[in-house]
Amino acid sequence: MTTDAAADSAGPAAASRTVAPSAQPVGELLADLYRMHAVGLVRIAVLLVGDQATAEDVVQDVFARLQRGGARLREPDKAVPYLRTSVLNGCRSVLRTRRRARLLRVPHEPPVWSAEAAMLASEDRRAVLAAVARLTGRQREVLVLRYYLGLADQEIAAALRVSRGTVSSTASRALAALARELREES
Amino acid sequence: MNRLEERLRDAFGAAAETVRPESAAGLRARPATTGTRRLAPLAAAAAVAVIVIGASVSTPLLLAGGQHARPSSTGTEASSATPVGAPASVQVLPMVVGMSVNQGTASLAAAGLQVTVTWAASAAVAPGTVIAEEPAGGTHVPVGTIVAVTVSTGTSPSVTITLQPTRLVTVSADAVTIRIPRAWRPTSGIRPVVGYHGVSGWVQVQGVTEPAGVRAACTGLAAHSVGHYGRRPAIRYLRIDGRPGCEIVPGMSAGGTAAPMISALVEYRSPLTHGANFLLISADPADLLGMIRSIRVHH
Repeated sequence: MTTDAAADSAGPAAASRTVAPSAQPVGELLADLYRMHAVGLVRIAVLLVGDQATAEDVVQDVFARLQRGGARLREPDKAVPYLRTSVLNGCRSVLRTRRRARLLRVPHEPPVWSAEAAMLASEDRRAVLAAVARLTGRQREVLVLRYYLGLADQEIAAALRVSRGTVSSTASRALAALARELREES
Repeated sequence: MNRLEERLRDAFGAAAETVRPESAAGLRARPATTGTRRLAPLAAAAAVAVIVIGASVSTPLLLAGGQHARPSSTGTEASSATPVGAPASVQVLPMVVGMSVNQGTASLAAAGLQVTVTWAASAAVAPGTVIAEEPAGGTHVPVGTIVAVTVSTGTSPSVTITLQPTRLVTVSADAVTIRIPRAWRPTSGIRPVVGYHGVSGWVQVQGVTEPAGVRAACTGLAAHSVGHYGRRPAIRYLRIDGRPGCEIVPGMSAGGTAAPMISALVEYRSPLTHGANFLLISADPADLLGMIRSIRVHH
């Protein structure tokens, strides 16, 4: 999976750039993190919220908040897990807002879940993504972290701040629900 | 390895791939839903107003170039753009008869040609397939030539479906009608966009807010969605159903970053709830050209 290599392999790179924290102002470190991880984070977010505009908003917000706070950045090796968790939280709150108020900003881009996205030419992918979109938020998060990022259950538990047992039970319920839906459709 | 897990990996990978590194390098900060204020941009400094329902504030926008840009200036640039580059050169016209409309128009566009699409009923040819091409494929034509392509709608002619953006902007009545092929089905997806799709293409409608008028709306949109319209989209101002509007036609983009689309923007008679005063109708490039004359705006 070459696409998320940027997100994952950049961890050590980020750390090596910051061996002398005193020499690197927070702003610069942030800009580095942004350059290296923004795309990967948007990709995660797009799987959760379904459209690129919103995904970019979420990621942008995370960096904006970091810029304001800056505290976390003193531990550069924790930056990537922290960013990931922040993006998950951001997506969650977007989805919550969407449900609550229907006052929606409209993305210009065709939503990823729909037929328009060129990459999703295959009916099967579309069916899978549509079924994923109907899962609960937690289930979707676990599946994305496991099957898109390829994280181990331990890491997923850390990212979602839940126990490892919760991760595996959520995942198996999600897979069961998906299998049911996809079988019924076909 | 479980097959369902394989399918998940594949689908997630493909969906994530829709975010291209090129487009995200200029990761844009768009206005947030609830009026959240944004901080100074991080990777680059720029400020461009973005058109959005429910907010009319300009917010910072990150551009890859890093230069400061105001909506008006990007707008001017975009509106003066021409649809095709490199004139005066000659091109062998691709033979597209028998291709799907999407493949056909894509290869014509890739050859630097402009395309108009007409739909015609044909019992013999599958819907969405190119029936005719004028000038004929294989001949030499100057780059930029307009090629007329006729596409089959299958046996049944098109139907009119009323798209209701009401679900997204809570207007009380139908907003627009568009003729689309009969076989198209409603697109399930993210709520704010209402759409239909079929094998031959897709269309979607959404509300857009731009108090500064049709020119600002069109140039703003064109500059905003480089991924879809290419770097130098052509904007044609025209009246659609008697209302001020425009067409945004994709320009030549070196390996576009997203599915190309063509859009028509029509000024709505009375502002929709949350201040949306335009309807944006977007479609696959092949489709909207045929649909645009069928657009009827209500209210």
